[in-house]
Amino acid sequence: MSSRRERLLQAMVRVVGEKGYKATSVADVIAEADTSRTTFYKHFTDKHDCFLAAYDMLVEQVFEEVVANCDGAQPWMERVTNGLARIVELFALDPALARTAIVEVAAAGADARQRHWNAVARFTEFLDGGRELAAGRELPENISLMSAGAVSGLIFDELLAGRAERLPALLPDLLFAMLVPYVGPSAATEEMRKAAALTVGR
Amino acid sequence: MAPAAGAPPPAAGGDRALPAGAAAGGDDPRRRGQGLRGDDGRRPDQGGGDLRTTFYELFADKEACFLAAYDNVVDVLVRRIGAAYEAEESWPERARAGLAELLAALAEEPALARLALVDVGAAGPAAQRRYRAAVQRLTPLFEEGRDFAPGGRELPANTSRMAIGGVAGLLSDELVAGRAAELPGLLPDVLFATLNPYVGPAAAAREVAKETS
Repeated sequence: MSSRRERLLQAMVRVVGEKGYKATSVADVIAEADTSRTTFYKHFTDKHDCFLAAYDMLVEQVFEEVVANCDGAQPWMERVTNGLARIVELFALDPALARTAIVEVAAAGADARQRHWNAVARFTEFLDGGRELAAGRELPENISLMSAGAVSGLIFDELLAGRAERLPALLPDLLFAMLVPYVGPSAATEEMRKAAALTVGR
Repeated sequence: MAPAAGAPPPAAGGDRALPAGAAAGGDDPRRRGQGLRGDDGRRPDQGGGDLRTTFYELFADKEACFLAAYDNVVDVLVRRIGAAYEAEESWPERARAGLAELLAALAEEPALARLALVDVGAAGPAAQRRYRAAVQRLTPLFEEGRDFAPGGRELPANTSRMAIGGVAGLLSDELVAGRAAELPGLLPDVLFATLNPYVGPAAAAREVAKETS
């Protein structure tokens, strides 16, 4: 991938995260990427085309970070906890990325929303290992969707309120939301308290 | 979304038309009959009037009309859910009744269901805040789980929002896939998503089996 194309994609993520998808223009993206209109239209047909490519890039970046932060040999609970912690950290460090990923994608049309949903489905694949913890219990088939919905709802609220920097402080609650469908409120509360102790200690 | 019967023509820009309920003007839709549209199916009086003029007499712009329609839909929905909820005794029974009513209402009006749950994100910050406010109105129905659950007082303050998020995730999945008619069939799962954060998966599964058999 040429560096100019990547600069345009990164610029799209930043500008949309700051201004919103609807208010973002191709001129804004070109200015942010410090490149030319000719270069933009060499790579993309229009704003929407560029946004979809930027979203795909963003999703890959986030998942790469999550996978890099998780050791496949760890028990499921540690793995998903570390994965969620990394997502929260990324979002807090880059609020524009977070808003683009979670909030603004909804404004970019049905195909963008489908990409967001596909990303949520990938996250739920991470979570499906939790079914083993419920050995002997019948869990609904779409339990991972409930878990992902609970987590993304809380994150969405904070981003809508412009409080991306508060997400790490919310990590204990997010962990509870993610784990409770699998392990129940007592065990999820225990994990939440452990995470809260770590958060205070930082 | 196709324009609803009796709705004014779309505002300038040719964007989606909106539910008839808010745009018909006239008497307070909250005094009318059933349905998420908040109307009784009658067409607004078009005799001799210019609907576009009427539109701009009632609403500053397209967004104002959308927000009014959205508020109308939410009002009707919350009242229907609340009435079903209050008719039952124990919290799991109340949750089941409220959720069954929610699913039925959304299945009746798939386009409005998509608007309320999926497309609202595309409608700008004011609409997104309305969505969050609508969620707030339903929070007390979930919060009762804190009294019902053993150790409920120890649960995180956000537990009701987690339960609502879990339910919304399931509903959005069906709506994005165009399966609004199948929403009532989700009752066991949305009930599980509601009860589970409070009572845990084993007790939630037992209650669901009891309430939905």
